[in-house]
Amino acid sequence: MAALEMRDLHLAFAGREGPLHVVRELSLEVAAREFVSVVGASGSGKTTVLRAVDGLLRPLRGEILVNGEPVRGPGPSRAVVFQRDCLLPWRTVLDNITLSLRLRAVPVAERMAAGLALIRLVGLRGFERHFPHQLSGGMRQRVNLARALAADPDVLLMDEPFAALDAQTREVMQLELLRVWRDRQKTVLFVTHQIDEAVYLSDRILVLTSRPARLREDIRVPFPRPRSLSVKRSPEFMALVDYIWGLIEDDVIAAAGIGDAAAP
Amino acid sequence: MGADEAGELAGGPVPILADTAVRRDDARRRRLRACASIVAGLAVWELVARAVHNSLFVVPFTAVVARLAAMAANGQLWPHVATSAYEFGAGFLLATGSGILIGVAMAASRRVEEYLDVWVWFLYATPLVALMPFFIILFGVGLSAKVAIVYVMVVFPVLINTFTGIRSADADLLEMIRSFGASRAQIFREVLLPSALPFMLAGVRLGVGRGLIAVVVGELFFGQRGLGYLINLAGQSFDTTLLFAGVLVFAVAGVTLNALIRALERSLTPWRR
Repeated sequence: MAALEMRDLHLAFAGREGPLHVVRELSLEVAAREFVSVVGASGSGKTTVLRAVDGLLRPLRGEILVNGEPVRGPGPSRAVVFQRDCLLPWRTVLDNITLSLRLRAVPVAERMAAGLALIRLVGLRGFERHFPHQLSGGMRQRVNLARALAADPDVLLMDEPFAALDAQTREVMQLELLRVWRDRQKTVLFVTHQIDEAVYLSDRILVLTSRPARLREDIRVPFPRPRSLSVKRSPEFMALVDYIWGLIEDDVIAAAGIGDAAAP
Repeated sequence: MGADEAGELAGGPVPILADTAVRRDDARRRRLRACASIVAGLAVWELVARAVHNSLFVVPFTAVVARLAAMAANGQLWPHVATSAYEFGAGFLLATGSGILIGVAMAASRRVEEYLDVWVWFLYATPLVALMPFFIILFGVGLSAKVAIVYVMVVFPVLINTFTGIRSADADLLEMIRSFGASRAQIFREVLLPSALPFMLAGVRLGVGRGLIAVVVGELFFGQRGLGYLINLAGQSFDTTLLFAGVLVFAVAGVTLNALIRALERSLTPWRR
């Protein structure tokens, strides 16, 4: 059974003149522990797909199944790593990470143990008692990731989590993410607009058309794991990035040129 | 890669210690300047008063303080302070408590908001001290009328700030906590309440000033006790020293309460710089 399945998924926003179609006829399967990225031009509905899988947006038509169970709302089988880190400013690093456990009224001792283990996993030892405003952008995203992992979801939903980081920090975080993913054995759905990031991280890449988004191509990434950062400089890697870029180039230019098309 | 090594690479430990040291230094300088300013102001007052030498218009600061000290020593002052403190305290506590409750109710329920909103803004914009004669009719010439005027002056800033604070909670944080499956009560505790806390405390601070005004106004109308009564009496008997002594007590009370609430704010909101 697929860890994540979308059947004839149609997504729409409520517009002034009826529903505004964002995603059409999306059908796909993601296997357990697979790392799948979603790429497409800005405004193509990548994040919308993620929100629907999380249960924050009800599909117009079709359905989403996680481990064979239809998604009806947010639930413990999925957790999101948000684009803006969305840490609670009034909670320490440890308390931010253990948020989902607190919401489920897990006993304090158990919460602490899980939280400290995650702090070690994401490399934040010594920062347990710090508040988010005392952390750098990269560290905040580590907390964001650890918080999602604390919920122990089957599917990890990542919404351009490294978009706001500088190029060097982003590379480190990509490497770190792969290490954590290996350690925790999660299914990952990763939204990004950085094609090289998608190629470096993923087993598969789903390329969406511009809005209303359909699946343009489902690409398997052939590079063996574990991947070092030097993979990014190999000709095969660059050729694949180029190929995917070619698929969405027209959409990207259209989105940038018209301007309106990029607006959510 | 080792976890610790990764921490270093992503920017390493933030230099928090140096940062707080600089901030502490800044705070010290700020406090020093404030003190210097107060001392200078009092000195000017003192000098001008001594130069003018007319105790009807200006009395030296030292004379005011001496008068207060004498009244404190012989016990004349305390019944007035106690009466005013009671009126203020009772009205202020009732207003803070109910203001927060009503503000939360309005923020939580669209319907409550729609029913109460117009009234709140209407009453907040009205100079409520004008209601004092009405409160005398309603409650009689006792302490309750004065507690009531303090209450109506304090309740609105607290209520409005509580409401605004809750409504201005970060939409991204709300989406985040919903995504983690939080219940309504959990959303309130984890996101809405802490977001609103600085707003609430700012409302309470506004309430202090308005509450003290209400005490004075209330006591101007009737009664034989209270600092407002004392000030009024001093004015009628051209005792400028006593008048300023009364005002000084209010000023000190205002500044002290403000500082207390600021301290409370710092201890309740340690995440703010």
